[in-house]
Order: sequence, then C-alpha cells, then structure tokens
Amino acid sequence: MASNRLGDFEFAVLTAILRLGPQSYGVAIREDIETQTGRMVSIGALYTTLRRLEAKKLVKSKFGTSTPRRGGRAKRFYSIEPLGRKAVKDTLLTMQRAIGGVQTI
Amino acid sequence: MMIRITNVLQHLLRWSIFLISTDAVREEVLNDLEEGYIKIKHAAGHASAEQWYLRQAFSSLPDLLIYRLQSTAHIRATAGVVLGWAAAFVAAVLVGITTELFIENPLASETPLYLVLLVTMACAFASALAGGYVCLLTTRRPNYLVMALIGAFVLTPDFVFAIQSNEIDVFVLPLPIIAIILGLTLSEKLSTHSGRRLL
Repeated sequence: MASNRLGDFEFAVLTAILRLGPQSYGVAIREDIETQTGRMVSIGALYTTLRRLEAKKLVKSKFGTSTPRRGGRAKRFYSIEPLGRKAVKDTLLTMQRAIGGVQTI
Repeated sequence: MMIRITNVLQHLLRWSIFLISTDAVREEVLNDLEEGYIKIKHAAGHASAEQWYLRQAFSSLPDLLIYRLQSTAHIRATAGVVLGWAAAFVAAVLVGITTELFIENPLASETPLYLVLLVTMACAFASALAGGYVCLLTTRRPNYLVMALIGAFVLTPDFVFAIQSNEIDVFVLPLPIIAIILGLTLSEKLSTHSGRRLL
C-alpha cells in the first residue's frame, strides 16, 4: 500500500499519460503537464521521474518508429500499467478523503 | 557577441548534461532539448528558443545529478561512507573535547561520571543523526553497517583513552556505538518522511 503513494509530480505524469493515451512520449507529456498545471516542467525532472515510475512498474515504455523531426531518432512511448492505474486511483481516494468535510477554503 | 556567449553556454550545458546524466535518460533528455529548441525556434524565433534551451538545461541539471547519485551504486556507497565517516569524525572530535575538558577541569573529580557519558552520547547521537540525515536525503539507500562500523572505529580510541584517564567502566564502551546506530535509524525515519513530502 505504501508503495502506491504518489508524489505531486508522479501523479501529474501519470495523469498526463492517461490523457494522452498512445501519443505519450516525453515532449507531449511535458507540454501536457505545463498546460494543465501552468508551471514549467524540466526535462531532467520528467525523465528521471519516468524512469522511477518504470522501475516501480507503474508505467512501461517502447520505442516507436523513427521520424525525420528528431534526426531519425525514435521516440519512446509510455503507457500506464495496471499498478499505475491503481496508484492514481489510490491517490485520488486519499485526496478525496483528505478534503472530506471541508466546507470552505 | 551575445549570441556567441549563449552558444558557448548551450554547448557547455549540453556537455554537462551528457556527463552528469545516466545512460538510461541521457539520449532522451538531449533529444527532447533539441526537439523543443527547433519547435520554439519555428514558433517564436531564435532568441526565444535559446532562452528556453538555457532555462531547460539549467533546471534539468540538479534532477539529473540527484538521479545519478541515487542510481549509481558505487557513488551511493562512497557518499554513504564519506558522510558516515564525517559524522563519526565530528562525534569523535566532540567526544575528545568533552573528555579533555572534564579531565583538565579541576572540578573533574566532582563531575558525575553519568554526566560525562550523557554528553558524549548526545554528541555521538547528534552527529550521526546529522550525517545520516544528509546522506539519506541525497542517496536514499546508505549502508548503515559500514557507517556504524566506521563510527565505532573512529570513536573507539577516544573511549579507550577516556577509560584509561577517567577509569570509565569497560562496559560503557558500546554505548556511543549504540547512540550512533540509534541516530542513523532515526535519521532514516526522518529522511523517508521528508523524501515523500519532497516528491
């Protein structure tokens, strides 16, 4: 249970992958988070977080076909794993429980 | 001239990222920097693209460095040993100063032995806690045993000296070592908690 707790940024990355679906690769994920949260996301933070999520088996990745836009280099696409979906649900539940009973902010 | 400086900076940052980042993220980070640069250059011009590149590269460096520290076993182990040793060294110095002060003080004979031990253990505990906390925040997985053993080895000569000079009972010898281990354990709890909050 403890391993399913997500940090703010991990949560933002996973929800971005859920939103983008099969188009989830680094640049798209970063731009999506920037649009949704309105804050700048560093590329270093994004990729180190993606590696950690992969190590925790919350996401998986595979290389797509190479495109001329990236000088012939293939993009790495990310998709969410069942454990990742569960972690997002658990985090949402925790947030809902935390805010429960609050009348005004 | 300004353009040339930013170009040099861009190359320096690119090389820094290349050197600091691990194999797992290096290529993707550099590719994305390049893609973002081209994208912004087409949309907003060369100057904006350069600014974006510099800002992105600068802000990526700390994350890449921390990731490298956390994911490289030998660096992690070295950091653990160095910080653990530093903590134990501080403890040893404090123990030495405390012991010497008590020995040289004319009131030493009137000072209760338990007070000497209490101060000594508090020093050992505090420095182990501080060293362990810093180490755990940066590396997350230190080798406690190595740190505790180094602490014990550094502290032991001081305690042998203290035993000889102050006639401290030999059974109190493990006490500062226990204090160090307790300090390290507590630092783990604290840093785990902080780590979660920082994520």
